[in-house]
Amino acid sequence: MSGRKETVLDLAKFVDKGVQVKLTGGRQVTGTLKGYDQLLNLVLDEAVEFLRDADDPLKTTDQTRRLGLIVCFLLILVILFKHSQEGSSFIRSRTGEYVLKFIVTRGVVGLQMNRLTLDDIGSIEIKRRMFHFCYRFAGELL
Amino acid sequence: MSTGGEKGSTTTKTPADFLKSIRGRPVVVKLNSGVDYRGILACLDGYMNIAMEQTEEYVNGQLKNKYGDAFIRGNNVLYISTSKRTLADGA
Amino acid sequence: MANTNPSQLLPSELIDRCIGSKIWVIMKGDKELVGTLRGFDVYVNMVLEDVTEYEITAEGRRITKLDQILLNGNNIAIVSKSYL
Repeated sequence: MSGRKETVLDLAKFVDKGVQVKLTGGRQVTGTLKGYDQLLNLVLDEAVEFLRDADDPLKTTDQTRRLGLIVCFLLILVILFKHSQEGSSFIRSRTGEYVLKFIVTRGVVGLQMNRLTLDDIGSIEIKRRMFHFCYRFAGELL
Repeated sequence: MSTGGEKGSTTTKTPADFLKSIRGRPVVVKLNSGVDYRGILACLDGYMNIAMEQTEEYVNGQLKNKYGDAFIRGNNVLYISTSKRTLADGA
Repeated sequence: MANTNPSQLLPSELIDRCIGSKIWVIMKGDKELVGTLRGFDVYVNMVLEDVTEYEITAEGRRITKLDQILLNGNNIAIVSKSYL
């Protein structure tokens, strides 16, 4: 009993669904979410990576390669699901750096994390904002 | 889906085991920057901080420097390798 | 209350299943390694054997063969069970 540790984002509802993630260094991968842990490392099946632009690693190209069943370690995360609203919301850390950014464009809600430390993950404010955001934009989704 | 490795000799060797096993041996330490250090591993800790003896510094595969003793801070380390290696260039 | 959905696969479980098998490790930058996984720890530092390291550069791939390495988990982006 006792300790189901709270995570920043409850990924449970995305299990067995398609997600797209962005990793530090600019790699972008899509696949079917099979599992995850508290650090938001993900297991993706039938994963496909969009290769990066040779000149700018933060850009991706249309070229892909198949990776199969993988574990992703990441700091930046983008999750895609259907939504029609547009907008964005930021969270800043105590030092003023932005650590989380939600981007809502047509049909897509994206979540970006930058320099998220374990400290930040534990912070109440982030959880509060995260849940608030998820309910507001993703609540009716699944 | 099978559980456990199916290969013949599945001897598990954790990072801690590896660190214990390589003390005093010749190693190659590669940093994230791509620079290689070859030498005798004097001691190391769980952060991958490394003290080496008879250290040679290789940049792009070319010997640039020699140090009697060298200390490498663990956060720069990409990998520590036992020292048997060959180089090749491929397409 | 069980916190793990039986249909869910933890990252550490998947890596654990790879012990003894060849894996494909893709680093944050332009570096990839293929080798037999011998073990790993909570930081996903990995002991790999019979390693081939690929550095993808503008001039092509530079290949380095390594006997046994301890790979720092810090810059690992992706680990794949199947290689090509």
